[in-house]
Amino acid sequence: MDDVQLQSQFSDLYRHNYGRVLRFVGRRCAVGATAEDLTAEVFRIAWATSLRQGGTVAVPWLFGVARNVVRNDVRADQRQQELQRSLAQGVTSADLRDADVPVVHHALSKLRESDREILIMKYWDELNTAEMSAALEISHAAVWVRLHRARQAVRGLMDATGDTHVTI
Amino acid sequence: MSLSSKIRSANPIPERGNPAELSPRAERELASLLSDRAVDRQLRTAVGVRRSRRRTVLLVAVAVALVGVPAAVFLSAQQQDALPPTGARERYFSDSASLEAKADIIVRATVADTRERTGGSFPETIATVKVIAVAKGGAGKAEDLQFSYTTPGAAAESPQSLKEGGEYVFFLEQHKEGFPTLLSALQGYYAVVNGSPVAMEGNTVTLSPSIKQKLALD
Repeated sequence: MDDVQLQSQFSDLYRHNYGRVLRFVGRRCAVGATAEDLTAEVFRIAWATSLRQGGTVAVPWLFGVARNVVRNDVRADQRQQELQRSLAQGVTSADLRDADVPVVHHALSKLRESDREILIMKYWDELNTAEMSAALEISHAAVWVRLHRARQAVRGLMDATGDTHVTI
Repeated sequence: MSLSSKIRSANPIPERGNPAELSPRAERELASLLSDRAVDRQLRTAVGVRRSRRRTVLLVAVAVALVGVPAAVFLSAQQQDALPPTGARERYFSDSASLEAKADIIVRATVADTRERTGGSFPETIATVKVIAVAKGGAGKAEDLQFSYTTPGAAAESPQSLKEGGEYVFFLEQHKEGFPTLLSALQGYYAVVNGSPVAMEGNTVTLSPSIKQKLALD
């Protein structure tokens, strides 16, 4: 692949996925400027990898990099703890016009991290199976098994907090 | 309402429909990444040109024997003029936007002190500067800021000496550990002369109006 093709493909990848990666990171570090810094780092790594491999990287791989970049960032770690506390209190930045929101946040805060993570990837980040598989470095089958368990767990918690109308 | 709908409705940062919409910062960062590659390509081309010039020099040597020394001296001078700047192996930013996007800190400052440090793997100089104005980054006005750079002469891409008392615009890169460093030996600093930024020899990039305005430069 020549340089022009490489730049064009990377530019398309960047334009179509920057927003998704930014929001993926933002949900985990809660502060706009930090999210932008970390997203820049994700695409810097992606570009360096593209150059090394002589071809554009796959979209699912981007989310694995994003997850690792967030985990490696001290600031994001602090923000993650703040986000956890906010979820536990049911008062995140989401508006509370929907009465279910605090119930859902509370239930998510009580889940094991692995269950919470896959539910957030599925329903908030809207990742597909291949993306979740790459981000978590597990097989497609394992994604569905973990997702099933996480749904059961969150349903149990929401039932316990008085929301008895949950269906899967 | 289904479980999936309930969880989706609690998303603090909902997904959006228009994936191709980029913020100005995102556009700058993309341009910066791609321009780094363009520079790589230019440098590889420059190396190819140098190799081709070596062949030319051999032909010139034969010509010297035939035509005489004065003609060879003339041709040699022509060759030297056409060579790229000596710092060309250092990354080179083709415009102010990519230079500004890559820098973590951009300040106008006066050099208060420089001291050489030789304990590391290469000689480096620690500069202490007094900040006059800030265009980007966390440094505060009138604060002292320290950064490091390769001691002049210690490497092919080391910068020219910074003069104590001299006023400059610095483009710095922050790291997880240690002092910030000059973004580039050639483009990491601009001298301020009579209130105007002056690029180092070989640096053809002029600063953008917005940076000059933030730093109160002409």
